[in-house]
Formats: sequence, structure tokens, C-alpha cells
Amino acid sequence: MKSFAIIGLGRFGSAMARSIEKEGGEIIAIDIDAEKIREFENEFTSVVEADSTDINALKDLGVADVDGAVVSVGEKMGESILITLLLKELKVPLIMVKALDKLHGKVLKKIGANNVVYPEKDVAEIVSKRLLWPGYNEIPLAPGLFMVEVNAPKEFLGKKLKNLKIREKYEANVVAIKRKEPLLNKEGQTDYTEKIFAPPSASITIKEGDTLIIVCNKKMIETFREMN
Amino acid sequence: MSEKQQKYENHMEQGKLYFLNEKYKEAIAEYTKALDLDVGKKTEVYYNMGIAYEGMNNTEQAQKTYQEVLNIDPDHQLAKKHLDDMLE
Repeated sequence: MKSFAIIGLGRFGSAMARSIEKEGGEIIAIDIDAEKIREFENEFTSVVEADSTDINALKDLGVADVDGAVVSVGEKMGESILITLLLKELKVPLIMVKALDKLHGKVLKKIGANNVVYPEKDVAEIVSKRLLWPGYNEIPLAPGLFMVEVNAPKEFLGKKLKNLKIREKYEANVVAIKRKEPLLNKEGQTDYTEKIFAPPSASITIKEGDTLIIVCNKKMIETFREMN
Repeated sequence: MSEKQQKYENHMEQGKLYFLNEKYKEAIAEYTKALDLDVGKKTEVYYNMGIAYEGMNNTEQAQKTYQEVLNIDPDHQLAKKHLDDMLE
């Protein structure tokens, strides 16, 4: 099980701690503010009040042995830079730091932060896409290459996957198909279960409501969006 | 059971049958007729309608319809679950 130090329990830090614990990771959550410790001591497994700008305090807490650290100390730019430097000195393998602006992000990169995040900007990018194109999720795989979920376009419905020639026509590979299987629940109301075909058989027929999981380039994502 | 109530039940049943056969548009048409009768539980109609919209991948309408359920009954667990899943 991977372990992480979460330094700073503001909105981003506490959300990261919650998410890592939910996914089965171990955390040690650290904040200098006693109020924050009281707020989260019953929620997270390990919550400690400490000054993370003190390398000895970090050593005592075992931060040198964690697999990664998340630094999110609000508006305190100087502190986040200092903590990042200390984490580097402790040879923490993966350091993610919340940046306040581009310049802050640049400095953090220079001193060795592996991952600099701008939560508001990052989330806005994801959420705005969801608003514009409900049902679409995309994961970058490599520069210019994405894994993306697309609703099966109308012109694909009722056709066999092999006959659609998606690789030739759209420079895309269908790696999986998510299909909703209608059912009636115990109360007699409609619902569905989700069945995943991965990899899908070439002879599978595309149905209304199917979601195709495709690997393709950026341009093709737009093409699929326009087809719906 | 009144005649209107009976009609409502029939439309709901027919709608669910269409849904189970993946005929989502037809299911929605039946649910709409049930809704127009203005009897029975509106939450039931809207919820089943939302499921049919989801079946068609019509996320926008499905969200709106689940929201209608929650406007009437904020504790409707299934509508809440589906709406949350869609917004995740």
C-alpha cells in the first residue's frame, strides 16, 4: 500500500487526503493549525499538528519514508517553496505541490516538484468540457493521444464494429464498449446494469446508448463530438 | 381504481416494457402520456423517464428529469444516485 504525506489541510489538501484514503492509500495528514487538526482528526487515520517548515518535525513524523507528498499550504508561497525543498532533501520520491500562479509553479518545478497543480484551473478545464459535451471523458495517454469516452454516434447504430472500419476511417481504436442492460429493480422501477466488453468482439453490433472507449488523436475527438 | 388511474398504470407498464426492450423513445412517449393524466406519482414517472433518457445517452435530458424528481422528493435515493453518477 502506498503512503503519502498531505501537508496542509485546506480544501485541496483535505480533498486529496480523502480521495487517497478512499482508494486504499495510507496518509499522514499534517497541518500547523490546531483548528484543522480538530476538524479532521475523526475523519482521517493519522492527523498531526506540526510545523512542516521544520525538517526535524518532518523526519520525526516519518515523512522521509513516504512514497509521495502533497503540499497545499494556501496562500503561503514562501512556505510551500521551503517545504518542497525540505521534501527534496528528505528524498521523497514524488512531490505534488499546489501552485498559486504561473511564477510560483515555475519556481516549484525548478526546485524539483514532480507535479505542479493549479486545482481551480485544472478542475475548470475538466468541468467546462463536461458542461459543453456531457458524457465525454478524456484521459491524455501521450502528447496528442487520448483515451476518450464517446456516445455511440447515430450512424454507428445497428452496425457491426468490424463493418464500421473505425481504424481506417477515423484513425481510432475502440478498446472497449460500455453497454447499459435494462432491468426492473425490486420495487418494479426501471434501472440498468452496465456491461463492459473489453476488448469488444469485431462482430459486436453497436446499440443505442452504447459508450465507446476509443484511443485517438485530438482532431478525431472533435469529429466524434460533431457526429452526435 | 378510477379509469384515469387505470390508464396511468397502463401507460407506465407499457413504458417499462418498451424500456426493457430498449425502445427508449417509445418508453418516453408512454411516460409522457402517463404524466399528462395528472394522476399517480410524478416522481415515479420522472424517474423512469430519466432512466430511458440515460438509455439513449441523452445526458442533458436525463439530468433535467432526475432534477424534477428531486424537486418533488429531495430524498429520492435512486434519482440522486443516477444524477451523482452522471455528474462525477
